[in-house]
Amino acid sequence: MGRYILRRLLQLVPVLLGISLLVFIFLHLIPGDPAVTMLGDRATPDAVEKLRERMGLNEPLPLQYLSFLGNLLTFDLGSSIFTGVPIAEEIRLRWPATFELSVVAMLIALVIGIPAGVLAAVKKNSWIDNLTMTGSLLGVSMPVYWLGLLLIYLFAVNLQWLPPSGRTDIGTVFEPVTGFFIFDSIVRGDFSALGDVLAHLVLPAITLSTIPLAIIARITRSAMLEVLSQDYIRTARSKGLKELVVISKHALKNAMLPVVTIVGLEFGTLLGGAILTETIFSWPGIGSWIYGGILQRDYPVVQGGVVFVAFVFVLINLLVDLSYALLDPRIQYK
Amino acid sequence: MAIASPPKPPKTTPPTQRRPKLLRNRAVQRFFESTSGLIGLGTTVFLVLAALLAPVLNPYDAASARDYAARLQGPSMAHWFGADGLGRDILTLVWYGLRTSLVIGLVSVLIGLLIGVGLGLAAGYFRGWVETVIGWMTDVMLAFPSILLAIAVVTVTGPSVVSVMVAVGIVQIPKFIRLTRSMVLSLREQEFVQTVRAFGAKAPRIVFLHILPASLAPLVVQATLAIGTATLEAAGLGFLGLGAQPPTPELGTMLSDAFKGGYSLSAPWTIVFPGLFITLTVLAFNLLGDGLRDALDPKGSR
Repeated sequence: MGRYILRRLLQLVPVLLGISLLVFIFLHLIPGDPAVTMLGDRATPDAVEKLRERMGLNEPLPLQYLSFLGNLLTFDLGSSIFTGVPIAEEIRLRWPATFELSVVAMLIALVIGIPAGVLAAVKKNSWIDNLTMTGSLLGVSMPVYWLGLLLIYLFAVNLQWLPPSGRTDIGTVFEPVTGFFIFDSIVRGDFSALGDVLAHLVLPAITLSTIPLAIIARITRSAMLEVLSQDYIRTARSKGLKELVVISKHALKNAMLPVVTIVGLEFGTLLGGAILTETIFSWPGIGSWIYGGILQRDYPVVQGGVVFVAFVFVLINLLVDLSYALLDPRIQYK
Repeated sequence: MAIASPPKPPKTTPPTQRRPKLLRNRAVQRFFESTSGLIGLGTTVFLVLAALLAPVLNPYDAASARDYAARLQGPSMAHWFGADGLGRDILTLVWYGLRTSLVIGLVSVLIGLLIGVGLGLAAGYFRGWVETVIGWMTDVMLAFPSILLAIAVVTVTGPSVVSVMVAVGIVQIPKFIRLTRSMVLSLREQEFVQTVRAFGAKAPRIVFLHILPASLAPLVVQATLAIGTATLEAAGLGFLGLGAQPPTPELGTMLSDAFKGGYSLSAPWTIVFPGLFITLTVLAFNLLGDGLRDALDPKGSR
């Protein structure tokens, strides 16, 4: 296992270098002089030249890339053009909001998606199967932000059951410890705050979970169908085991392998989808921050956010690969 | 001396030609047996016809017709889908927006398909460092959640319909590289390719005349499904304000206008209809893709 982890870590290096190179290229292809963008159109050529010098923009490109890489390694991602807040600081403050939302969304997707997929496979071609598959198709075909707006309209505006935006009510006094509000409110034993936090999570988490939910249900169903047709399942059945035991103890374990991979991949979808979902729900995370950066043409924010999300995505996939190797020992020897 | 001429052999097609036709018929048959395929085909044809006929059948001009008195009015006989914040007829906007979205979807998938298949063929056939480099590029591109990569591209090219096509097209490339490469890898070791190679065929001939045609079925399926994803991604960029710029109507941009204008919740018809048509378009191509997979690639469908 140790060698496998080492190998996977080494394989990461070129990908991470590639990400940084790609982002560096994007940064340099953006039309306009970054120094001019920062100083505004009315800046004197002299001032622009000085800033260019200070930002290292007059250095040859390979040198600039190396210093960009050095900055990345020290988490120095520059600062926002408009607020002047360092990108790394902003990410540190906002990341818990995005992470909490993504984790809750993924939990919803798993808790509903896996049983739905198993049920659909066990009762193949029944109305349950048809319903699950139709729902799953709708889930991947709908724009998430549209669903979000509809949910807000229905549950927040019309029925007024749930709050439409933000992480807490404005009145809720809340001193964050870790920034993960569910965790924070439990640690403090503040259950009214916990209720408030959870109420605010419901709509955005459901919105964000639709695509992973649809895909997990689909993958679980097909993996389950594949497993259920195998000989060892027939053996288990002919031994006289109860169907419930056959499905939950024998089939489900093996059917979960492809689901684990998908969970990793779908985390990327979640982080991408967070941009749209957070925007709709004014969720103070990385996604709505990138959206604000796009609107204001605040390129350091957009680039910093993109690099960060890509790195997180790569790391999550690494973790998934490692857990996959734990679940399926054959992987390590390939 | 008249000798009865020997009876002409009955005209039969040689077996090599007969088989593909039979296969094709069976594929068509399988497609028409697939419910999802038929629904998908019907909806796609409906949407494409609607988009094509927009200028003929539609009473209003999408860009300029404004009825300020009808601003944010709900659905009525004059405006079936209601009117937006500028008093434009939403039915007209959706109708023309559908054209934009369909064109974006098609062109971007074409971009992704052409580049992705080219690179995938090269990677799979030549192996060695070519494969390593292309594989590395694929890994790097797949390390970005797709909408993020698209956003990064549009920040470089600036918001416009063409940018969206390019951005969404680039996002599609790695999927086609992976698919094509895996097809080539399995095909290049098969007997018919080995035979052609033994006869001295050169690489381009083998790749384009033998390997590519044999990998068409999964590519067609993937491309159809990709149109759905591309439409969704393009609409997402439009919603972020990175897509079509006014006055070009586009479905994602319509949602963005309603959201930014602050009337998406007080006048829900401004979001319901554009979103519905995005969903319908994506759904149509997903169903069509599923049907095509049932027909062309029965092993791949489960």
